[in-house]
Amino acid sequence: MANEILIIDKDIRHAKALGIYLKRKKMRVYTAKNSDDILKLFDRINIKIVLADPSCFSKDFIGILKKIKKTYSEVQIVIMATPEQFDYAMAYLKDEAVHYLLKPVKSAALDMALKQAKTWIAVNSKLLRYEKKMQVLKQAQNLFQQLFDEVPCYISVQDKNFCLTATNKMFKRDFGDEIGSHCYEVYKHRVLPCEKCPVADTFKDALSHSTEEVVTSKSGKQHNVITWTAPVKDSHGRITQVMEMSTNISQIRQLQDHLTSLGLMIGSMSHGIKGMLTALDGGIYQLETGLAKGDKKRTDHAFDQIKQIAGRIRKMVLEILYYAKSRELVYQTVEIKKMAQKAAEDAMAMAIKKGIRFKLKIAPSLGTIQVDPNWIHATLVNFLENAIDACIYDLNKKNQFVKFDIFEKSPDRICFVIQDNGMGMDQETKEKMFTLFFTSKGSQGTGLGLFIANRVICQHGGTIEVESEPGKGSCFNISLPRKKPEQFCIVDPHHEEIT
Amino acid sequence: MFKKILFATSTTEASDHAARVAFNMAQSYDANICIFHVIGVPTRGFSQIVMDVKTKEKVEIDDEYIAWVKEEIMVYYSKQLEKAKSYDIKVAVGFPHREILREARNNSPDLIVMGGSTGDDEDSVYKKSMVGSTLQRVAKAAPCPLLVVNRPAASFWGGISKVVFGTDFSKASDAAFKFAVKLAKDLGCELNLFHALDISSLHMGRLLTQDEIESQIRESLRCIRGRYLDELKGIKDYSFDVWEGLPYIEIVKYAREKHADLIVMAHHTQKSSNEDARLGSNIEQVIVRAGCPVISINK
Amino acid sequence: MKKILIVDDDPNIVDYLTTLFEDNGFLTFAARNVKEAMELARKEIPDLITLDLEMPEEWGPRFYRKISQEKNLKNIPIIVISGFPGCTHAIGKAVACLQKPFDRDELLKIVKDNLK
Repeated sequence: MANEILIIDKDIRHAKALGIYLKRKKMRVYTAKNSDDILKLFDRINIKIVLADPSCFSKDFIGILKKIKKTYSEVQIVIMATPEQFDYAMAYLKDEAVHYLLKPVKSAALDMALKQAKTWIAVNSKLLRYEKKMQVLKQAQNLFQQLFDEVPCYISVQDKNFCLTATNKMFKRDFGDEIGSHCYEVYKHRVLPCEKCPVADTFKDALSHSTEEVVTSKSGKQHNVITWTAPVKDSHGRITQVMEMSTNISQIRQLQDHLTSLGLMIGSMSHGIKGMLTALDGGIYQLETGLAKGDKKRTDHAFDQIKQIAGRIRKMVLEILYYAKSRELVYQTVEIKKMAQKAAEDAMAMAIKKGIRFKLKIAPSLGTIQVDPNWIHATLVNFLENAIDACIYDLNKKNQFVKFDIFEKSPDRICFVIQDNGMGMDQETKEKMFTLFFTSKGSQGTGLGLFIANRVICQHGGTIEVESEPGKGSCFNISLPRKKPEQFCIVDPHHEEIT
Repeated sequence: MFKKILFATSTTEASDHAARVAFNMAQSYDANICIFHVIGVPTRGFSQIVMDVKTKEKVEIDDEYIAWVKEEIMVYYSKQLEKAKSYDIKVAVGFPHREILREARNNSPDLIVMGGSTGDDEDSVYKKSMVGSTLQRVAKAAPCPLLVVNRPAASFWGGISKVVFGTDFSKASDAAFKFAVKLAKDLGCELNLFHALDISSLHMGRLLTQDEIESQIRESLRCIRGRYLDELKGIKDYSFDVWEGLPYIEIVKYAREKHADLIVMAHHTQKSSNEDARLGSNIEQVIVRAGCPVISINK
Repeated sequence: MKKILIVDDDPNIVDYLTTLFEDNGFLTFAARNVKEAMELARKEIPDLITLDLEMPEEWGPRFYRKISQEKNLKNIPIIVISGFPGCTHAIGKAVACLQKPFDRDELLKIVKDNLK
């Protein structure tokens, strides 16, 4: 290391003497006679130290030395000068030289100079290395910081006291920049550490742990997450911190729930479907045999049955489709009067057949409303049919009626009121009637009708009010806005959120 | 139905329970009861010197001795004989099973009544290799139904009002069924048909799943209906069931459950292979274990 | 004429079975729940019973349990007609079990076989 030395001295004898001395010191000695030589040498050989007497040469020689120092900055220049030329040398090379020696050079002085030069070279190269390392480190740090922030999970680092020492961007976004707070406070709004804390487990056994948790964000929203923990060791291998990564699986869980209830629904409906198919078989059989026998009564009855059952099957299939697919509404502007009449048509026919009075009252000049006509029609029919069924099932009363009233509640809201004096509902039914799979019709009900009706009304930005007394009757007041709502309706007074 | 009963006895306590049943039956159905006792085994060929079964002594047979034995029998059963309207007492010499069968062939009783094993095995005169060899041999060849009252617990007689008939759907079972139906009709009793589904690994070759078992049960029920239901028209009260398990255990349990007074079964339905001989067939086990008398039919 | 008791809460199905059986020369009675079914069974002593499993209030198997306790009713053959898959296992001693929707020819065959 640093053994290549260049001697520049016009005094040949002096130079030679130096050369021999240095060679003994195991250095490789080069000499240069003029500027060209110097540059050529530098091109070829990695010269570290220059031992030069600048007074021998011209000014441009000094220029060359400066150039060399500039190009090869690690080269250390030691100037030799006679006392007379010393000042001259100093003046021009004070920036470039590392040491000065008085000519004739004494060995001790030369040794010291060399030592110093070598030290400088070593230090410089170290510095260079460190600088390079620092750069690499900085780059790595940047990269990790990016990763840390861009990863779409919540990442937090906790110390032994469960205090947060680092959090990533997503965490900050949903939970706030809570460095220093306790993780259980921030994640779970608790005052004590959680019972099965995976962070605690990792602190104990230095292994990764995984749990599923429900965490509460800054805004109060709850998320299902899967949490992984990993130990963070210091340079001695001790675990000082634990990193916690949580992936938001709320959507998956929601999807799972949806699929489960879909499965449940199909399962619970299949029994009803089978019953209806059997009834359809029955209708067809009676039709066949009625025609064969020429029994008009039977054929009429059969036709009626088949129509009814086909209607029920249709309704059920639509309900399943509604539930299984996306719930996007297709809005149209329709005339309220026409819509109400259409809905009342089927219901009226059924009521008359069963001897129930049906009163339809549509306020004049109601104008138009923006709704998805198919779904609103189905919903209104559902409520009307329920009202009629309530009367049918109520075996006690005579003079049963169903009233269907449509009027304007306010300039931008229309009310549809369906009232009956049938069997009414008890407290439990009132509370549960809009829930999934609840039906009071036994094997004839699907449990979906009111659930879907409720959601349809809500999606339209409407509301449903229910009044009922067992034995006396029920009244459903449905209010819908004239105009399509601006944003998706998110609040359902009967349940928690719908999205 | 039973007018002539042949009651084979050892005239010891061992036959007491069978005696109780036999005498009761004779009384209830106004039957003639023949009390049949085999004295002993000849020691050699056709000599008159005989090993007395009871006393285990060598005795010489002569008329006097026979009369004495008869007297003893009369005394022993004096109480029951008081109520018996018509009875005979017969004594024979020879191997019990042979003599009983001979008597049955000669006199054609409607029913043979026997007790179970006569107790101690050690110094028994009969060369027994397994339980009730006399019973086995009589059951195998009896020309009429054989009623066995194996143990005291099976002898608490209260008349016949509930009969259990066990079947394995063989021809032999069909014959036994005919008898059971006649019995039920004549005596006006309740008839309960039973089939045991054998689920032992030996029989099936492996462990069955419960679903397999239950579907086999349903199959068996269908079989019972098909095979027997028509004949049951005249019977006032009947039922049928199929249980899974070890056949002889299930029959015993079923009879217990139904409070049966009598079990009717076919005798060995197949030629006894070595295996059966080792285990004892179902009917033998039922006889030994039942809580009521068992009638074995073999044709 | 043989008598058949139909037990089912769905009026459409009762209608169907009644017409079907009467067309084939049977006398029919219908019950919509277990209570009615027991009363009718005791009164009429049918030769055959068709039984639905899922009914409001009490279910089919309960009816079976009750009827097996009665001496003169316990041996009446029962055909289970239900929407449940696996209904074969519900009533072990049933003569047959049909799933809804059923094949009417198959049903008639089973009925005739059991009422010879």
